[in-house]
Amino acid sequence: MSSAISTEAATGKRRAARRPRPAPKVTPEPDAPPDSFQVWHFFVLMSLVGATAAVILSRQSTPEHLVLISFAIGAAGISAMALYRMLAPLATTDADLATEPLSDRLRGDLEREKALTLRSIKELEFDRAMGKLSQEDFDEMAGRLRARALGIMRQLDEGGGAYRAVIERELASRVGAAAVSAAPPVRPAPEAPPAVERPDAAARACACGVANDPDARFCKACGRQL
Amino acid sequence: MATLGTFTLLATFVAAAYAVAASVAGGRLRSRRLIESGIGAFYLTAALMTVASCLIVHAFVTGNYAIKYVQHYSDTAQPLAYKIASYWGGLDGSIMFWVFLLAVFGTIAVATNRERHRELIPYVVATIAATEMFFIFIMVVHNNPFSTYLTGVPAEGRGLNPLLQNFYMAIHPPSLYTGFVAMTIPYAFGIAALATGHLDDAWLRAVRRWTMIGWLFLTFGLTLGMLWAYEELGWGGFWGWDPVENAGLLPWFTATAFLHSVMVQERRGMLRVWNVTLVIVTFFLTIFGTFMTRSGVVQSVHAFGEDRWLAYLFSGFMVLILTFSFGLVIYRLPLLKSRHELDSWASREAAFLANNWILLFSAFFVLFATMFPTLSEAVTGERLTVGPPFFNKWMLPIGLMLLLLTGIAPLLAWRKSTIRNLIEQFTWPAAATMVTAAAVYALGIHVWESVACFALCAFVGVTIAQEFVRGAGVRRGATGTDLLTAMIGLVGRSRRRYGGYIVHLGIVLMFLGFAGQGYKQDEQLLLKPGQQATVGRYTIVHNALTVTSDDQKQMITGQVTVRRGEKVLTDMAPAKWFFNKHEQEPTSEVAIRRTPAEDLYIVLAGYDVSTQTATYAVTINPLVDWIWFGFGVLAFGTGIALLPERAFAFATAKLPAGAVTTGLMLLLLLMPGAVRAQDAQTVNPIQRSELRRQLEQEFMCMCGGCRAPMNDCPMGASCHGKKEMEAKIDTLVAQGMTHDQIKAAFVAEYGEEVLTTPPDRGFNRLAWALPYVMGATGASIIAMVAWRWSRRDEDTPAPAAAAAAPGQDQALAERLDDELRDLD
Repeated sequence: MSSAISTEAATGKRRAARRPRPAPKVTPEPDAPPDSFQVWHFFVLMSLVGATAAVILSRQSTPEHLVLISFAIGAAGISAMALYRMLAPLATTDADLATEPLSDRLRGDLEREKALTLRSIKELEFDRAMGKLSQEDFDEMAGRLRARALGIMRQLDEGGGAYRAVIERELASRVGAAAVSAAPPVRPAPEAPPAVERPDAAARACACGVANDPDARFCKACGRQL
Repeated sequence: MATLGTFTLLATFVAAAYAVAASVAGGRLRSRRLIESGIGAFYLTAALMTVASCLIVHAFVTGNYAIKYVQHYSDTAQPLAYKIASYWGGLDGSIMFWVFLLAVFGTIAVATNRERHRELIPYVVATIAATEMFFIFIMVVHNNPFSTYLTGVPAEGRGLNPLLQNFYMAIHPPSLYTGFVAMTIPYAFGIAALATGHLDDAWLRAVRRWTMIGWLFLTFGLTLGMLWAYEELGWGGFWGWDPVENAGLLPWFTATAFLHSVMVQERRGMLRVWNVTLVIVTFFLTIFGTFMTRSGVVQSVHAFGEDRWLAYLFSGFMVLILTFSFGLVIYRLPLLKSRHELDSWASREAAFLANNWILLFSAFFVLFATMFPTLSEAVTGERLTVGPPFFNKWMLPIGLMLLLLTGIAPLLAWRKSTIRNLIEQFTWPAAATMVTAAAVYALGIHVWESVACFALCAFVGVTIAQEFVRGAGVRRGATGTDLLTAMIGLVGRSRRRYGGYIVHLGIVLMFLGFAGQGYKQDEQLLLKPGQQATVGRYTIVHNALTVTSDDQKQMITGQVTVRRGEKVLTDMAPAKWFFNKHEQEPTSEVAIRRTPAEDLYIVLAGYDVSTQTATYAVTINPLVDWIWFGFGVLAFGTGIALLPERAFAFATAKLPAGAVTTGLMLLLLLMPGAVRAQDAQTVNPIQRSELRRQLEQEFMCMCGGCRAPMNDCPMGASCHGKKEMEAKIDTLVAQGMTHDQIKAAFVAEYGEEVLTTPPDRGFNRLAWALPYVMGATGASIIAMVAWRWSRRDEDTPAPAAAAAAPGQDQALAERLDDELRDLD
């Protein structure tokens, strides 16, 4: 998991908090920083404007009437947003959506799943201590749960791999684009094999080209001492 | 506004259709963009239904009587809360409300599971959206709540049915609908798992929480229905086995069975076909319940009326559900094979199997008995009545058996219990059962049902206590804390298990209330001002009758003082309310004095304003409040089981989990519970012989309006049809006729429709025989399957888990061990 986090950091995207974070988006502005104007802001704004106009223009002015009119317009705003949410994916390609790495939400889900599985193992231990489960049954049931927990842990760890693939693809495309347009490169192109570069000054680069955590003593890719 | 509403419904239908098409195509073609677009369309249905709901509520609040539905179910004098509740007060609006809830719940379910169960989500979306389409179709072509008067728009509405203008009735339908709708989510996941073939336990984990939520709301809805019947209908009871009540109970049985059997699949990998079947049956029963109450196939006090066209639509949809769902199950049978076999009958999984059999039997029995009059009419041409005595005859022992199993199952070990184990676990609960039975008998309660129920309550209560104490002991040994801290930690750490035990405790408390019904006491008093009569330990003094009115209604109120000996306990004011435009349907405003031991329940059954004479129906209901309190405990337990890991840390630090729910329930209890509070001449209660009391249970009131047994007639002493029948019974009893002779005389006069239970002959013998056949067949099938399972055990290869343990990644396994150690 730690490798996943460090690799993610290497993308250079600054995120204020690790969790909770916004849901993975199919909105077509992947490069927009999270504090910039988002699509849903537009719909909320339009709903507020619409509700305000309706309240001002309304002939009936009982509180319940105004509240309900505002709710209806708010719901209409959400409908417009949902319509956008329905149409936006059609304007993208399957490949764009498929590159989505282990998202924060999935990571959260997996973490919860893992906690649940570990808790189930603890419950089995408890059952055994209460005399309600023989050692043989415990071994069998706990074995199954352990296998599940290990699977989830592996999936969480491999999440970093998915990120790495995305970053590498991204880098390759940018570098390629830069070379074609002869514009100054965004970043120095890495030597082959494509490596993940870390802008963090404290990162420790290995001779093999892989960036490691600042406190790493061995390279996480080749195992060489740093 | 009405046009906009209709347009919104049409747009919702289109969006739902697109969601189905895009999701199925996306799922089949593995196209992420289509799947995402389908999810977007699914969210759109929820948003559009919210707009439509806002529009209809707005129409109610502003009194837009051009819309027929608004005109039928509201008027200007109605308080705001009931204007909003009118949204679901009629057929058209209730269907729309259903779709709204389903869309919102579906959206939440999809949004929360979209990442974790990516492969299932397209089919989940398609299933829920298809269900929405069916209901929207009904609205668009047949029951449009936005349809308007073309000409002659009335200036005033007709007003909501007075019986529904009650606090509990305002929140009872939403709660029941929420329960029904929440059951669609597990079904959708089940179908998605079947469609994709991802039939491991993952889909179960996704639906367990939703089933619990649905179950909680169903229970809440049923309890509110009981409270409403108890306080509003005024016959002293709370459950009359009315088809509409039964419609909510049917999925409750199967959902309860599923919540138990799902544990067997999680722990032992068994009952996989069974679980998916239960999910399908539960969903089917929610639709069937809706069909029963809305199509008019059964007669009920609060069904929506006959609608043949709707009946055909629902029938088609139900056939489609069954064919499609079970077709998928059959197609996927090879993937649904059990991983393990039944090792012993003295095991927890065997107890769960028995519990499932009983619950499913209950569901089918109630379904059969509810539908029997319709069946009988179709075959013999004569409509019969299947009343409470018939239901009680079966459901009473079934309820007691379930209570017994509630106590037994937690004591049994998974897989196999040894004799030593059994003795160790059962000693205290068995001793408590015997002591309680003896004590209750010695206290003078000689009704066997009540004695058995009290004894079993003690059995389950001690079982739960033993589980807590022993569990705390184990935890104490592990953590070294004191017993109380260990117990709190226990609940915090094993929320599902101990939450479940708290739910069982709630059930025990509810059963205490049911046990009290075995020896309740009811009398009728005819009193002039200043006269008094004694019922049980209470002396009821009638002071006066008052006639008052407000904007909505005229109220006739009996002023009563209740004393015990010389001590004045309270003043009470039972009343009859006559709502404007509904003068023919007066409502009984019951006065109740609640105590934990018993309720004093007084109904103004009849009156004569000129002489200030009043007839009071007085009931002493022992322990009835424990039912409502038991629900509070049950909700608390479910809340604990539902809380997520993180929330519990916060909850235990700040306040007990589920306190809000319990607090709300207690608040609900206390609100109507507040009792509205001279030398007198003593008179005796109206004399009713034992034979007459018995016959009042066995004969239906033939007034033509209430369709209830004579002793449960909601119109009470003011019912003319009932008065006439009572007089006939008295005459025949006075002539010295026996029970059977009087029964024959009534059948000769009124036909067999007068009987609350179908006679045991001809086609009607089926009603008596089929439950036995059903029970025996079910038991035989279970025994056969279990026998085959236990036989197959010999050929079963070694458990897969040994192979599943991935020894190759030692580092990961060590990390897992570390995390387990840190988990406390």
